[in-house]
Amino acid sequence: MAREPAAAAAIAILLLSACAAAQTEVPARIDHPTTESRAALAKAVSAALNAPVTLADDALTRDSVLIVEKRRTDRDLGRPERFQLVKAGRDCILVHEGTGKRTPLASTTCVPVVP
Amino acid sequence: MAAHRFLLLAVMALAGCGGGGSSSSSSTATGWVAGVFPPSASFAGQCSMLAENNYLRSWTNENYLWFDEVVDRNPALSTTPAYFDLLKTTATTASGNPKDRFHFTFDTAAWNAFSQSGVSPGYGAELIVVASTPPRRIVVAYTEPGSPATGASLARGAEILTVDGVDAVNNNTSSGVDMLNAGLFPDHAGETHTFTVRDIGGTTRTVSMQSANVTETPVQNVITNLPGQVGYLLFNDHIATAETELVSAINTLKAASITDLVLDIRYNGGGFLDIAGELAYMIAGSSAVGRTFEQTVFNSKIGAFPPSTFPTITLGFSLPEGQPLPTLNLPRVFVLTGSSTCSASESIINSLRGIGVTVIQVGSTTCGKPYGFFPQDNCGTTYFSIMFRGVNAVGFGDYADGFSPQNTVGAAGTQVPGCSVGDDFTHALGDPAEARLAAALNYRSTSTCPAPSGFAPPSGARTSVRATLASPGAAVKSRAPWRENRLLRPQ
Repeated sequence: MAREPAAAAAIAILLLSACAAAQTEVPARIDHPTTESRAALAKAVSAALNAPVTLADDALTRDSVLIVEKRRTDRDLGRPERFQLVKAGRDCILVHEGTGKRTPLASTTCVPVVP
Repeated sequence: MAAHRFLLLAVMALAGCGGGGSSSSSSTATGWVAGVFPPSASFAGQCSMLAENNYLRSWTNENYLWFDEVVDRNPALSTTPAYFDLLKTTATTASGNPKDRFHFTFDTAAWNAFSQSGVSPGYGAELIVVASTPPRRIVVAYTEPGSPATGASLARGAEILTVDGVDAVNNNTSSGVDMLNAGLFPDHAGETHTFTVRDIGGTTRTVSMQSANVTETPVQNVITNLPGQVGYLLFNDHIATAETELVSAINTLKAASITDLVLDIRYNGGGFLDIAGELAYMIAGSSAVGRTFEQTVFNSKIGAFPPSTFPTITLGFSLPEGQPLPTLNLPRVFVLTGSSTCSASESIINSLRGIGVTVIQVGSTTCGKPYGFFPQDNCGTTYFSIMFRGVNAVGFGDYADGFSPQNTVGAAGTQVPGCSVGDDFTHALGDPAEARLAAALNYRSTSTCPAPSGFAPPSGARTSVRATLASPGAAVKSRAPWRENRLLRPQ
């Protein structure tokens, strides 16, 4: 019985920590793109979509949103795929808006996007 | 909108899995019974020639817009490519052109590839083939900012004379044409090719360019101070990033209190239809609120989507969803067009005409594609077969011969007030002296036109999408399959 308050306190601390971490997650952009970071980004996008992808060398270096399109028809009723880069602590995480899938990007440094 | 998307998913599911067949024949059936169509789903993913032909036959009967105009043929007697080619209407339009010019296939692996919005390998030069047969004429229509083309000082009007030493004007051998295609349309970034070009001033020079993954700028040359408080906007592609750029452009034009707009869509082959809806609303403003932008109509077995109204808020392509769109509230708009003006671009014209906005067309006859499709994958091939057409607020969508300025000479499409004017590569786009823009400004002042000079395809000339690629005035781009297939062929 005596352990219950301690456990509850530990859980509360964990939750608060998680909450704090979540609160520090901010939209970000890649600040020093390298061959490795570009490859990591392309790999993450390709894995999320299960298809090859072509990206610009400066993808996600100007803002936090990456818009990716399958080849369009000329009267296309669909929508593009959207990804957002967020910075959580030191991690740069790519979030696929359609599925919520989160992929930490290896070899990548990023900085918060100033609104 | 939510209901619309649900119906879209339902139609796509129906198109993908088949349904509506009139027989319970097994998937292994080989006997052909004319007029009896097992569900296409029963043949999907089976990749023998007969099974694939049966899949296409049943899918066509279920989903093709003109399914009742397709002659039912024995699927055992043709190869799959040949059989697919037969699964379309042979009817013609009023001007004698084939009713269906948009029936083709694409490799599924290539079709399903993704790219960042507006990014593709190339030099960033939009090429126009003014003459597709020797003596060939290939001209730069415009360039993308920051691209290899601008780095090489290529500009509108420059003509391509040689590619890697091959005469681009006269060479008509298979090997030569292959080299031209390889150099003009690189498949990957990092390829270096050498060109002889003749600039507008007549100077001939040699340039080498390395292809790159070029990011397209779909909206360019926003001008607010043409004579008479007229604004100008060059809109080249309905890609996702166009939403942001169009909103910015309309805000700029609105801040300048323009009284008329010249919308240049001469090289715009379409794309996301909702982007067209957004722009049409931003032009018309209050007169479009609650009105039908376009209704998507399928064959009689499937029916139609509810009419889609003009969007009044951003749709989340590249801007956050739900922001009010700025409006110009114009009662009329001048559009500059060419044979590359296609599909979603034509929807801008048709939708505005449908709600009583006056559209004045200056240029050449548009491509004539009120139709669309949901591409179908089967056995590694993606099939494009027309599934629907778009109609405007008054139910009009019959412009398969395109829209033509009213004084067009030759076989014209749906006539629109305005002037037939050929493309003018000697002036920059947005230059008031450029022939089409000049004619629009003059028509605005005087309601008169210069002698007609625009291009109208002769009756029967529009034999297929791929033939259209080789038509005079066709744009060369690498975004869509009907453009991506090589333009130049030995004649």
